[in-house]
Amino acid sequence: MSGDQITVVVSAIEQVAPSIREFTLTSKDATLYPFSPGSHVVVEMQGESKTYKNAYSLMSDPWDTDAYKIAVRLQDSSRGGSIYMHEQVEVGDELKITPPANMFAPEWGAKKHVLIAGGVGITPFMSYLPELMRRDADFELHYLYRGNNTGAYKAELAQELGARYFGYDSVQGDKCDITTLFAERLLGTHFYICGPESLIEGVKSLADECGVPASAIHYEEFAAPQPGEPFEVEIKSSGVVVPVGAEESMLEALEAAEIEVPNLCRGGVCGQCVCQVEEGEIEHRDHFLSGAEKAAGTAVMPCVSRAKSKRLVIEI
Amino acid sequence: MQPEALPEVKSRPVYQTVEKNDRSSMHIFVVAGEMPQAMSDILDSCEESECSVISVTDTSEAKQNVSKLLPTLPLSTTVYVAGTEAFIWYVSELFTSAGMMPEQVQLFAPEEKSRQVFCCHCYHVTSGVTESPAECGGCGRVLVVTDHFARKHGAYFAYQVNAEDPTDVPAAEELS
Repeated sequence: MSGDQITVVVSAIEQVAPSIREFTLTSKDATLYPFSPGSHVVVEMQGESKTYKNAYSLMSDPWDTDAYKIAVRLQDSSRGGSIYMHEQVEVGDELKITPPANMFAPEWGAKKHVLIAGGVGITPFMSYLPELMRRDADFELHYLYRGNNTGAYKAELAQELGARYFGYDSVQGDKCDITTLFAERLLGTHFYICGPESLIEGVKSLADECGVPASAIHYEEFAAPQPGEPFEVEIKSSGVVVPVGAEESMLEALEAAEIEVPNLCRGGVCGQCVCQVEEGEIEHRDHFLSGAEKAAGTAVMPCVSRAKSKRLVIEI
Repeated sequence: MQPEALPEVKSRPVYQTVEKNDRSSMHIFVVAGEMPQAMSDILDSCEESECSVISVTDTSEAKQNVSKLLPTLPLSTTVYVAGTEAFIWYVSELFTSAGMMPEQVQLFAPEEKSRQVFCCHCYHVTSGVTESPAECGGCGRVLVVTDHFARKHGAYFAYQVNAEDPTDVPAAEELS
């Protein structure tokens, strides 16, 4: 695990929406680190049969070192992490988290920030907002949600942000016409998207059609490792062979075999866990490697990607 | 003493073929001197309402004209720049410092080989350098001109070639 873990105590749990729980985490021994807007922590959960490690965006004020807040949505196809957070964790419990890391920081040179959140994708922006306001930055928030089910923070955001808040409730039939978000923008406008992959891909392709430069579009999507066919991974230098089950990621399997792989986001975004591939065919599922790198087939992100072949020979 | 052969340097600009970005709603053409044919071809393909030409003689004139234009430019703007290498990077910096992303600025490969050279001893920038070593216009030292390029300054890094023996002045070679 990269960085020293912090032990935190769950000091409050709030059911902010039918499928979303908000956890307040306070430090057990020392004060918490301040962090930069958009940061996340990886929460370690001791399940019955395995250890889950999921990344969650910090949604509290980055200057608040008394407590961190995270929100966890119960995923329809949860591999156990979000179920654990929803069903097992109680007030007073201790959890281990990593120090905050950031792959989704605001572009402070921007003249205008346009935030686009889909459902629980609002979380990283909850840490953006206090800092944007302190800096008196020009911004607007577009919040796309499904009624009370995922629109956990709509009322307080609408009140706090006033004219800078735009809500779209799909249950009410409010659709956000993304193209209008790109219309009549001036140079120096940056867009940030957090939400499901369909939203991110949709916004990216519309931006491209509207002539918006790709590097003015920022997004974060932690791809939870999806299951797949079981395979074996061999470490070339040591010859150790580790079986990877259908329901676990290659990174989890390696960790369970006590093979350390440096890692940070565990969601195919940061690039920390990249391993060289000596043999075998890769099923790339990450957002880090470029198309050319994926085609070359010599590197793999074990946190989300898998093997198409029966065995993958890698070097860490 | 002859300067050693310089290795390939990553910071040295590689100029791609300039192509019109059809998705942009505004096209800005900035040129010092004569407009290259390839640029005027792109200009001809634009509607009058979606383009603007800034034809100048030097960087200060470019700065004045660009500054006037900047506050009104839409996000989906593409800029095309032609001139000397020092000029095109100066103009590029004008736009990127105003919030334009690097992929929105397209530079035509300069036709001249002359370089702007940054002296690491006195920080003077000497223009129109075609050979290495070359004399610094600021401190007079004899400088090796490297391929290390600073986009901010539009200049190549240079250092004294004969620091240990001022009488040793190697033969000059033409820069490529």
